[in-house]
Amino acid sequence: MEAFTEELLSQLECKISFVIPIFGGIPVPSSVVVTWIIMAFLVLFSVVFVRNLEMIPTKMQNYIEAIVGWLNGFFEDILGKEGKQYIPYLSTVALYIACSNLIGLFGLIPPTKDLNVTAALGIMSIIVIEYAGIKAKGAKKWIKGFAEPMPLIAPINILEIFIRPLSLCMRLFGNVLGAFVVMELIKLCIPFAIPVPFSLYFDIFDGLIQTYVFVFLTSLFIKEAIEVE
Amino acid sequence: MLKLDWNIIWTFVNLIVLYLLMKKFLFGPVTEMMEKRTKSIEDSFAEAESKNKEAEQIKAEYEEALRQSEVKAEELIYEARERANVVYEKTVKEAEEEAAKLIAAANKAIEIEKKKSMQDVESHIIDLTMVAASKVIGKNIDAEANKQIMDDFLAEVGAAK
Repeated sequence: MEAFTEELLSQLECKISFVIPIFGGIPVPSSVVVTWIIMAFLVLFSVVFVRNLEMIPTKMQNYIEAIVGWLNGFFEDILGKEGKQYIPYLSTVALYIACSNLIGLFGLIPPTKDLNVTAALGIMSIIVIEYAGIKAKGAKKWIKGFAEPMPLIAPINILEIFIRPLSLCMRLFGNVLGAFVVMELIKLCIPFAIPVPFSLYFDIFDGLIQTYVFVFLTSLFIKEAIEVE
Repeated sequence: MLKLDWNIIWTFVNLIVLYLLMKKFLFGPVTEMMEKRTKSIEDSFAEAESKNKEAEQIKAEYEEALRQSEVKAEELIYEARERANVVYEKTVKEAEEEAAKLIAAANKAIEIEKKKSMQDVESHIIDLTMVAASKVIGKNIDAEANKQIMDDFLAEVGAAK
């Protein structure tokens, strides 16, 4: 049992894959390497299949257009016409988190298991949200917006800037980490056949649900920020 | 496990790079293509609609023109018939007049001829009578006296007639 605890803890540790030997050595965590793999996959996939688009779509173009069209439609429903410019970013994040959560199926460690990655995603989200707010309302109105609906709750509104990314970050991180730990435990107890349905739930269903929740909440916050009364 | 450190910067950079690449290679072109297709479909629908309308308008115009030409043709036929009638009547009248005139002239000529023939006959008769009378009298008095006698006689005959 102790050996297992030891093993689990070492699994949870965010390992450093290698060190770039410049500026006294820059450490590259394994999550970043996996992220690069995901990025390479997404970009290569896009370049190969989007290269020759046609007016009348065939084969692969149908699937790509279905995915992109679904993402566009989903975010446009929430954001409306004014928030159209944020759709590519939200779609990128959706694809990245989905790939990250699903990559566990291929035996790689999900990057979203690294707190640094989810924290960065949360911070990026709040930057985009506030940027959208400032852009839509103007700096003066944006600052005034903190005192609405009444000045009394301004501190809570300001706290929201920190709470939102924190909750986004921790929700994603906690879910992926929890799923990972539970899956490790199941695999340890019964390493044969039983982990399959659980893997379906934890790796695929939960992973996609968390992706959905993350981008859904981010777009909802953006919508709230760009709404001009 | 719960370790937040400078490695966070990697993710920022990765995300921004991925965003730019995705926008350039995936979302940009695909969205553009889909919008282009939507637009082209809308355009072709609008074009079909406008062509349909145009065709209907042209059809209506043609029908109107056809109807007008029918009316015009009827008018023309009517007018032509009227004119023909007028000309016909005029011609007939003229012919009648001409005929009447000709008949009148012919009658007059006949009358004159008749009168002339009468006079001829009269003078012949006079001559004959003279000859006969002179033969009867046996002697011939002078022409002056003869003529006087003849005229008297003729006047007598004319009065009796």
